[in-house]
Amino acid sequence: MTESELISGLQKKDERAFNEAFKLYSSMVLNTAMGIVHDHDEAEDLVQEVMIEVLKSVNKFKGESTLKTWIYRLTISKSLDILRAKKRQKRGGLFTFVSLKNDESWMHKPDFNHPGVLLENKERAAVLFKAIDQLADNQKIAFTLHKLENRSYKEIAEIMETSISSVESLMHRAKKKLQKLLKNFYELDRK
Amino acid sequence: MKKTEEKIEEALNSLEGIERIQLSPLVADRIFQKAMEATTIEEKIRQTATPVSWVIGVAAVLVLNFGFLFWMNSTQGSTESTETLSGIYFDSEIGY
Repeated sequence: MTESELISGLQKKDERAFNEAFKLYSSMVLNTAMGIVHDHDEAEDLVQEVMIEVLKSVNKFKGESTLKTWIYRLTISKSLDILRAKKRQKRGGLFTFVSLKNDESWMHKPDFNHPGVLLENKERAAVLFKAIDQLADNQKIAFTLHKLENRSYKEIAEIMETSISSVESLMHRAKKKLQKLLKNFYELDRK
Repeated sequence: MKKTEEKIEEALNSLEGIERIQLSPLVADRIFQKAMEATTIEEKIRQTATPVSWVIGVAAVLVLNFGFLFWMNSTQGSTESTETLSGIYFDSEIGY
């Protein structure tokens, strides 16, 4: 099935087309979502939400990007919604004031064990994921798409609707911030 | 004991070789079915919503219309009875 046939089938709510889209993109959605929300169950829920949204909104798809790029954008948008909802819940907590003032609080969050990380890297990756959580949204998205989804800067620029130089800048800032956070973590760990 | 810089570098590289996660066939099937059901239900709601909203709209207009007519009628009735009383007083004055 070509992309235009797939889009046409989705617009007609054809089950065969949806099945094809699901096979093509569900894994991409799952891995991208997991890289952003750092929770396997929530990532699975997001797959369902995104695929529903694809069927609902495909009539609005103008074809200015590829279907894959459009689905990436939906995934990122819904993943960020989850993160923002979590942050709002945390702000309502009794000890929020204390935790906001504490720059080390991120180090004590529960580990996220990504099932795809190699065994010898599990512990280091768990620390890295906590640090990634502290990045600004744009930096987090760029870093996740590059490191977890192996997207090139050009592809990331298209997904994020920005320039390649902006993506380079985001990656540079993300790495600097991660280095700083990890330095704090490992220096505290030594004490 | 490793230096901090080495540990940082290792942490940054810890995602190398990361495997892509696949949905298990059972989970994939469940999600697929739920997604299809959700869009079918929404489609049906959208199809019935339009005639239902028309009916509600027309009913609301009719109720307002009849309500207004009833109010007008009740107001006119009280005005007529006031005029009759004035007529009686007028007639009795002429009598003198």
